Amino acid sequence: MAKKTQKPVGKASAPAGKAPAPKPAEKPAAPAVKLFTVQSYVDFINQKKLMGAKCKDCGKINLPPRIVCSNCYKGNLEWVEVEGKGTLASFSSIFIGSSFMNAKGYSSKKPYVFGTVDLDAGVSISGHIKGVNELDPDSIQIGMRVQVAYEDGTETFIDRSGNKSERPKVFITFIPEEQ
Amino acid sequence: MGKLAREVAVVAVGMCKFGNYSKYGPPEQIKTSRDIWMEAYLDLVQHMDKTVNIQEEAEALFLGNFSSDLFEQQGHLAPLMAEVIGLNPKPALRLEDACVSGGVAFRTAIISVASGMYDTVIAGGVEKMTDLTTAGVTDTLAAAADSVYEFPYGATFPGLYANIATAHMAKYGTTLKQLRLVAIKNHNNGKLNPRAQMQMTMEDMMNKNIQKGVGNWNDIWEYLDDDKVNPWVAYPLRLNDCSLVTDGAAMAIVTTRENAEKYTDTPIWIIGTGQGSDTLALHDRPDRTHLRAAQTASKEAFQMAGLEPKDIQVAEVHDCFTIAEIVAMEDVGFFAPGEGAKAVEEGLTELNSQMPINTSGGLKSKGHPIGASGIGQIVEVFKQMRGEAEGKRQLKNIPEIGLTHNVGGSGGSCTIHIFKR
Repeated sequence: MAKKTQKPVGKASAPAGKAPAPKPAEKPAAPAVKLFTVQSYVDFINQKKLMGAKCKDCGKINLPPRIVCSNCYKGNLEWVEVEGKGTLASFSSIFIGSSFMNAKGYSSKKPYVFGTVDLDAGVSISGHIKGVNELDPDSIQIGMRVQVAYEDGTETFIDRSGNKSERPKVFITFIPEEQ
Repeated sequence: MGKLAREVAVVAVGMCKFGNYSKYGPPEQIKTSRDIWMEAYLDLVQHMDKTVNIQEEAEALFLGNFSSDLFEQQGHLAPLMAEVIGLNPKPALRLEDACVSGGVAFRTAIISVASGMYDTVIAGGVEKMTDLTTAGVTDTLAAAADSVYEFPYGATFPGLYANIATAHMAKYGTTLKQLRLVAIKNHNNGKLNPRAQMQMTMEDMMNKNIQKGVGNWNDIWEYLDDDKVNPWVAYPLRLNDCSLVTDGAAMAIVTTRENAEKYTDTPIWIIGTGQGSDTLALHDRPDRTHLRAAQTASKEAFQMAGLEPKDIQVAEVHDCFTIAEIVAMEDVGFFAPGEGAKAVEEGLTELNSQMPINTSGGLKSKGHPIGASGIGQIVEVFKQMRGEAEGKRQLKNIPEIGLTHNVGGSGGSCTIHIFKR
């Protein structure tokens, strides 16, 4: 794909007698509808939108989106925005975290809560639960109402040469629902 | 529902002493996966009833291993493990379903013999876990969870089982004390198992810490509530609710009725095998208090065996965390949902009681070398059913029917096997 649009480098012009170098092809227009991929889901989250794929055949909302409906296994889907409100179905206050969370500053002295949330839209997702007392897990109630809160952060990107860089990333968290 | 096309038996088993053979330890104690795998082989050979040339008889190796790639930077493990016990150039394949890698290797071995493809095969498992940092082990295990939709939000394995625990506590009133009782029982059993990684009761551990001057506690409950010696890993699970990080290997010879007598006069018959799967992500399961994969596997295995849970006289179940043992007993059907924890509290699952569970010490005390754990369970049930469990661990009434329950990840897969003397 890239080859066609690449301009010749280090050559003054096309050899005589041959057709002139093709004009750079026009950039393909951005697809009107994003593919139902993991990357699209992440891209939407970076735009602070929780987007699922609704099945046009059976009505099931697939969140995260997928190209095959998880209910009827057909491939006829459309994007829908899902309201990020629901109830806490399970949780844990994690004192020995993954290296990924440790890098964010969590530790046994500063645990974080990981839980599963049943969204009102009829789908469930995992999330980092904030705005609760991590050090007093007994105070956290299963069944409590929560809502999505987007958190600006960064992720470490390592390119093929091994160079590290930080790039912006939005993380989904949940907080107690505002009354 | 399936059935085995011909009868299949286990005729010999072996395992290394489960332990910590880390590169961070003293050089004379460092062992790699191939070292412990050969120890399991020698254990098997030394305890075979009759002398058989395994290199001639065994036709294939089915090897359970979760992640030698990440733990040891060693992929392509099966031919390597076949080589060191003299099985090359026979077929060798590795099976991976997280913590049930050993269970699926065993089941695949059974299917290969029942189908008539092979007459005699080796089902084994090996995992070398202790060469990574704690964070490295946590991350490697987390690879068995959903790497896109769970891990980025902070999931860890203890954290996922802790989620199952809080859901179970909310629904059934399961208590922290009941969780701790699972670990206490399993350490009582593990103390009696010479191949267990931690051959100590919880009280032994407390007394050791008192002697070392770490602290003073009036009883085991005070000890288990002390953050200093039993820190939180993922509420409601403390350190002593979690199985061990273990290096271990185990293997079993699986063969036909015709061949069995070459090996032994007392084979153990496989009369039921079941397997199930489920979503990798815990959040995608409507019921977070039980494992559908285990319920499915259980149903298949019992139907094949023509038995009911009450017929089982000894069981090794997948106690990767204390809550997992309670859920396992309910999924298999030993106790009704919500009754498992009470059964533990009433002592019904101890040695020589109504339903002895994890007589080996379980993953909590014997250790949990991921890909070897499922085969390690079979080693224990085989010994118990032949009256060969070491010392006081042997059940007084030698069981005629036994069961193993092995789970992968937070319940994404499960195998169950039922055995008969």
